Amino acid sequence: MSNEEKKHKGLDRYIVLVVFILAISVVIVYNLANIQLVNGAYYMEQSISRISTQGYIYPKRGDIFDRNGIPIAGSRMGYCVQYVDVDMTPQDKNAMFLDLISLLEKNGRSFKSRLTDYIDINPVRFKTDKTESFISTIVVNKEDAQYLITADQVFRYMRDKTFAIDPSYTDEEAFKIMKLRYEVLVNRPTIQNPLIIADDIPALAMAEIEERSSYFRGFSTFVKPYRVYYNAELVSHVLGYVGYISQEQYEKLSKEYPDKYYTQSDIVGIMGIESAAEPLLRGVSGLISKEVDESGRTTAFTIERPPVPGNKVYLTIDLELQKVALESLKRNIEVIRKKPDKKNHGDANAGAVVVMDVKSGEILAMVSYPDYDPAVFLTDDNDAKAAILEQAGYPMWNRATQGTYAPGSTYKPLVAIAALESGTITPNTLIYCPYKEEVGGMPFTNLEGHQGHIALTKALATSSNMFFYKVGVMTGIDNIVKWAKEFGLAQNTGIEISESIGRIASKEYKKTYLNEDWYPANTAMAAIGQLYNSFTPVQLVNYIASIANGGKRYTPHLIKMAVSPEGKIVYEAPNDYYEIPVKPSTIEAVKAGMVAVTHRNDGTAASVFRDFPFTVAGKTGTSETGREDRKESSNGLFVCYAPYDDPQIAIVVVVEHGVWGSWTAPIAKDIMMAYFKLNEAEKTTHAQTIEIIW
Amino acid sequence: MRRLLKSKIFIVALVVVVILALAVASSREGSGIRALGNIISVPISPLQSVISFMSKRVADIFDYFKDVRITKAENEELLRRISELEKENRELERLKRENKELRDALNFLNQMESFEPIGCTIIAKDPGNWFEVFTINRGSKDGIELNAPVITAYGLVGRVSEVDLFTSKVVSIIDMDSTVAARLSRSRDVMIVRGDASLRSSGLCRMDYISPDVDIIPGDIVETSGLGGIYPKGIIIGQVKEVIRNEGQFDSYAIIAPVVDFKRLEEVIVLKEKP
Repeated sequence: MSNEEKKHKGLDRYIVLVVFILAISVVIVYNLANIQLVNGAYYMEQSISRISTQGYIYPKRGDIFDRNGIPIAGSRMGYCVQYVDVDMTPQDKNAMFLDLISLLEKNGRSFKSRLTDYIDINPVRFKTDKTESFISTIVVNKEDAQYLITADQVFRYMRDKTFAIDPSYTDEEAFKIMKLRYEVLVNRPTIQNPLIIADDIPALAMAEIEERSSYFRGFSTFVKPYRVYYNAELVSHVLGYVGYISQEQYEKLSKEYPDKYYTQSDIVGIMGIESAAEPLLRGVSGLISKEVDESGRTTAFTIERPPVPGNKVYLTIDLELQKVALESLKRNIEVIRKKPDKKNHGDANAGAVVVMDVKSGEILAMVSYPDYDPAVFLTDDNDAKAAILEQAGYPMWNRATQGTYAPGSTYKPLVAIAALESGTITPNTLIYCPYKEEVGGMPFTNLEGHQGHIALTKALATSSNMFFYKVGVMTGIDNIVKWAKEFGLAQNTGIEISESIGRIASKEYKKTYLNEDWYPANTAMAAIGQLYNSFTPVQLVNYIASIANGGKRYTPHLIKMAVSPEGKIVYEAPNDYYEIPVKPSTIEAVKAGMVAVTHRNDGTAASVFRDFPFTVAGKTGTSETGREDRKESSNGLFVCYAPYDDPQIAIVVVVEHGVWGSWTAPIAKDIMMAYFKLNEAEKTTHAQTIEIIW
Repeated sequence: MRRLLKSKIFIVALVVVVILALAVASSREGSGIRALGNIISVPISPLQSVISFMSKRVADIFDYFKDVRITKAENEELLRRISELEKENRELERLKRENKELRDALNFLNQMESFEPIGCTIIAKDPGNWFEVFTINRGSKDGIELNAPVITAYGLVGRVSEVDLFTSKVVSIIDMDSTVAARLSRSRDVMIVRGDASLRSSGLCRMDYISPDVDIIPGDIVETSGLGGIYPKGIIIGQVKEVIRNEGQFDSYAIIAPVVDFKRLEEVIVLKEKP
């Protein structure tokens, strides 16, 4: 091969190489341009790490209104913070956690950690004896556990080893960091299962966490509806309150209403109407599919199942009347305490009032005192909750449906019905009522003194014990019990919220619970509403209403109707009733006696209703608690309905240790004045008079 | 040893190792190598401008070859738009004056007095049609700080997300890494304006956490709330374009049209907090 050829061959190779490199360069540049410029945005999108997950959308709980549409319960929007664990150096994570906790604290929130169940600082000490399992969760190596004995050792170990907290932090700061890091260690929060850091935080805290989201990695906020109450302190026992769902409730509700999709983080009704109307109020939770970034923040979403808000619930309660009843009860309890009387020990402290529409069974007002503010149970103020629970007089107990009281003389109209229906007496039968007489083999005295021969009307008006001792024994306990049951006493009334059954003085009761035989003298005691008789105020009001409306026994109810978000009526209270097989003449005779209570000069509540512009039929009751010798006053009861000729409402008032039944009648009077707008009428007549004068 | 240094293979290998080491080291945040990066990025930054300029042209060429007709039609449309825009521009000049007066009235400038405006030019941007994340020609030597608010004469652009010696990166409000605690000019409720995966391709963003009792309609002005700790109060973000109430959901969200045009952005102002 010549030199020339060699040279030529070298040049050839050079050209081939250049062409080859150029070709490769073109390919590379083309692809680069394609990746960077043409499809850059697309690849950018693809490169952002995305994780798909699903979440619930909490439905808006239905609003609650009174019968006139005055709001009692609604919803507001609140913010929550959650955390998913992200990959960071311990130093950065500790600094970020401390900043977040400081931010929450600045906004009046704290982070609740189970770490404080085990260990505390100032001074550093264990808060439990069972430290073994706790230590095993925080050690980095299993072998380390054997060297950790004192609380101080554990604290130092956690600080330095487990969480690698920088020595420049104070122990207080380090403990704050530990609290959060401990929860993260135990829960291992992931995107599918984030750790809720704080519930219902102020908007200010939410704004800062969100705006500084690039710093607060792993933290994100979300919104959900929270319950809010208006005027709830007026209707505490009727309304009840809501709270976090318990495990049992979750299991029960999701089994009973699978199509409502309950979740374990739901807020549900715990007491009162909130609990009774849970299926109406709840709505259906929605389902959302979302793509989130590494911090769990939503970048895209589709709603798989839209949530359905709960129904609006209208109560039968008239908030105005409720307010009058509550205020009158409170005021009169104070008045009763101060009234001079040798039987008054000044211990009146509690009571209940129920007002019912006799034509429908609707409860217009239901008051129990002492009461509480249900709104406290919407907060996380545990001290305020504890204060309610520990307050004397059990304010959370609904005396109107759960309290049982001996009816005393308010039972006498029922005994009269039994006597008339069994043909034992007629309205005109005269019964001899001396001061002292033996009835059913036992000596009894008449509190009303020697009354001579009296008939039913006078017996009811004066509340003659002797009349009812004798008529009761004549009628027989079985007849009395039969009619008490007809009028719904000592039976579930069927009201929506929880109620007590109470008990009735009967042969069965005495045999079952005391294993004793019944004596005729027992009938005498039962006939004046003593002995084992014990009924709830709502049973009593229902019984009086059934007398007022001529023998119709309605189901007392608190929910008038429920309206769907679209405005469709989805529930309406049934207006059916049980027809008590009682003769109209019997009802008339008893009514005449009850009207005499308030309108005859010798009536036990005559002084209260003197000058009242329409006729009220009522009955006082003073029931012995059996502790009168221990300086406890008797309970005072008053039942009534009005107007006499066209009954509209029935009222029962109970004041514990109210001394005399007649002392509680002014409460019923206040309610009637408000219901029939007597004050306004008075004002207008007054105004008219002025006009005429001028 | 000398022979070893002379060996071409060794030198190539050494360079490769050094480059790889630098690459690994600089990928870790806050490493000292960043300063080294500055040494490289400083002489490069004018070059970056050129590259950014060039790459746009290259993209244009690709676009051109992709669909000539559309470009042609677009050109005609644009010519027509020019005259329109000139008219609009005069109108905008008037509005601008008016805007300034209104801002004075709102005492906006007083509130801005605690800030020193630093005028910056955009020298590079991430790929895509919109200025979502971009680089400006000022850095820590000019007093630019992390999270400093970035605005234009019209309103909010975003915040500084990375600071180098001579350049800084800005994350705009349409980027998905951006969240702004906002509110309506005429109410006090705090809402959250964020970049949205599907809306950002239209230069829009999303406003979350609208309570059902908030009265909001399209056209409402959205501004910074000043509550989040990064943005001062009262900077205009944009206008409510559409309010979306999802069936049955308690809160709703809105689509926000930013007042700043993220398609055409050249100069921005970084707000530097006065000491």
